[in-house]
Amino acid sequence: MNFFKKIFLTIVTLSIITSLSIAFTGCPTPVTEEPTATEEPEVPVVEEKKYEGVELKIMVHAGSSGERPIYEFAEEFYDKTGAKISIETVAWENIMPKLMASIEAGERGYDIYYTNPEFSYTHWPSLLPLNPYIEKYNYDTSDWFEAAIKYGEGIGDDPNIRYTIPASMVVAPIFYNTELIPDYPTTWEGYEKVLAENTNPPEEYGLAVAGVPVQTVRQFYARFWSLGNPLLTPDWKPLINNENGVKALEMLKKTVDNFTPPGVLGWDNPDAAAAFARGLCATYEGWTGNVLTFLEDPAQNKIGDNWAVTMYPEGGTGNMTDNSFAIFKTTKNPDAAFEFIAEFTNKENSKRWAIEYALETPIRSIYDDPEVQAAQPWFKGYKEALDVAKPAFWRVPQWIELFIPTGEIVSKYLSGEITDPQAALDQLAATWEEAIKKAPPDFEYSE
Amino acid sequence: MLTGYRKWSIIFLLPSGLFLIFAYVYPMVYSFIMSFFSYSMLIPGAKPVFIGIDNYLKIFSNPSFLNSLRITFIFSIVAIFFEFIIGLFLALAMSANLRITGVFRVFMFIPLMIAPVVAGVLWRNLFHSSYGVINFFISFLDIPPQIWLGSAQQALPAVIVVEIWQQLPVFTFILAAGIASIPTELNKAALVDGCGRMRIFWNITLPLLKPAVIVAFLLRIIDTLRMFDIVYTMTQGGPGTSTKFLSLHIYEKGLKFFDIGTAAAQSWFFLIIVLLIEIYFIRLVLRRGTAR
Repeated sequence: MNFFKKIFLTIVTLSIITSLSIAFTGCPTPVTEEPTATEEPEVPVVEEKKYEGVELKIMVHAGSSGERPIYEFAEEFYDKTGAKISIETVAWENIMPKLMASIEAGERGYDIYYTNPEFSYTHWPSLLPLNPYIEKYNYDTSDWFEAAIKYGEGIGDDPNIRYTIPASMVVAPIFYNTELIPDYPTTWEGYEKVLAENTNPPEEYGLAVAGVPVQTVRQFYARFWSLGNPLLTPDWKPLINNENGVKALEMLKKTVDNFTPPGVLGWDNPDAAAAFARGLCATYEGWTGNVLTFLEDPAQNKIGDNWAVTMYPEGGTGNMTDNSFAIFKTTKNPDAAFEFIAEFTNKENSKRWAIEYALETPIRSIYDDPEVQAAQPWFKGYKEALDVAKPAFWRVPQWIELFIPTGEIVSKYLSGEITDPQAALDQLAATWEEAIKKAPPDFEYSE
Repeated sequence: MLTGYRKWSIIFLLPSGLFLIFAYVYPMVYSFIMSFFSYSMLIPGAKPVFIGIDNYLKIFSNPSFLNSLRITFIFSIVAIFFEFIIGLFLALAMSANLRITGVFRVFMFIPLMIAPVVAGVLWRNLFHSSYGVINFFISFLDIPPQIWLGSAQQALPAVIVVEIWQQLPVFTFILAAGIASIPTELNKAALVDGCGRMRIFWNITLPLLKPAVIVAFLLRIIDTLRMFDIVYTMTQGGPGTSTKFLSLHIYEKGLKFFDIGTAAAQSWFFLIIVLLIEIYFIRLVLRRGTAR
């Protein structure tokens, strides 16, 4: 007992002595020499920066094509305005919990986030409506792709409010090896023929895809949408389990079983992108960011410049998304936040990011710019893919409950866990119905 | 009236007690309360709605949850079985006091020191169907390349292999400590009485090792049932749902879909199952203690 008592009394005594000494002497302050009357101090003329002392916390979707330009621009913005930008990159899987935590944290949370606009379907009540700032700063949206305009509005309960500003348009096109496939087919029949011609295991395969559950969604949608159906009826009844759904699922399974390297169902995006860049596969269905990283790396790129980008056959498209900025209502510096976004996404900088970082800008005319085309020849095919792009579950707050089970059930069928495509899609339709029932939308489903 | 000793004990315990209340007790009580509510945080403006035990009843008709429960138990049983067999063998080898034992112990510790996420990424590459080293090695045995994590049949065994690789030292060291605590006189007396090595193992070593085995099982069951990091990095639960353990399922419900009520009920249901198993093992230990 005495031992504990001694320790406790020692801690208390030391605390009292420290507190008293601080109270009487004050906190140590840096000693500054007062300029004497005879000496004229040389005061450098420092122009007060507009946002000196302001700090903006940004959450950035890790691995997105905007990540590197945002880091670069953050420094420029600091030099120009004095606003310090703290960036936190977060993997897609962790974005939802991070945003939830940020909302709970209020002012201590993020000021801005940069990720897919789907997250705004859920979090819009915590976001700042950007329309007043678009007007105030005369921000130009007139040259955006139609999809960027249409699908960025109507979130929440007011169809005229916009909560996000896109910096890149994201759709998964098809990358193909031009040496092996000089003329890319425009039909699914032709596509399969080309894949078959380029499949010669174990050295050559027709197609590289990421097959982990969540990545199979767009491959399935691309086939389903090319057959002409929307995912749901206007009153939110699933159409996914109709005959076109079955056909699309069977098409995908046939492709994966016959033309991809063994084991792709365990592959994530970098695995598939590497297989294409290293010449193992003649084509690649996937996001651009992953494959460009490999194609830009001479150690990884074994196909040189012999590659191009095109859209899916027969008007098919994977689910479109984008990477957008949004500002939290709780930010103390909405103007600084908007200026950061507006400058990052203006035409001049968008062109710069497109040339330097292949950032897929929402500004349509940039894709026709000769300088951009020279730097990113694949933008031509990507623009075509963007013209037919559409999102899934636009405006639905429980979108993630519809999205993740889709990948899971498609993967179940591809892996043989479910052998009947109709049963798989019926299961998917039931999952969708249950998720939609949680908060039935008060607007019609449209694509 | 508190005596001096009790008073000081309480003062010293208070900070950690308060920490426990805020960090453990409060969240647990809160999640238990939420398990009786329907509450989806994804829906703007949604408020918790009391639904009684509906979330618990739904568990039994939720094929996805039951499938994850089944996979988790298969994983746990198979992994622990092999860890026990191999761990016992290694513990016996270590008890032989060979010169190499010291080096062997150090090497045994290495997997245990690697973060599970790192181990998951490492083994994901080793198991890679195209450039994985494991396919390279099995080719020397004339076994054709396997697709491992890309196969619904092979992904779970692959995750079990990684679990055994990483957690084997736990079993080995606990059993080795148990073997070291067995009085050598018993073995010597048995040898004098003409017992063979196998007889000594079955009739002396193994029965006296029982408390250590129970403790090892107790710890490993808790660990394997809540397995998350390795499987998340290796397979993300796929292909399909072939490696979607219960921890992944509940994580998805709670922290991706923010279906808080369902996730809380499923967590509590799972906790009760784990507790029942653990109580069984703890009672075995206690019974053993009182028998002595």
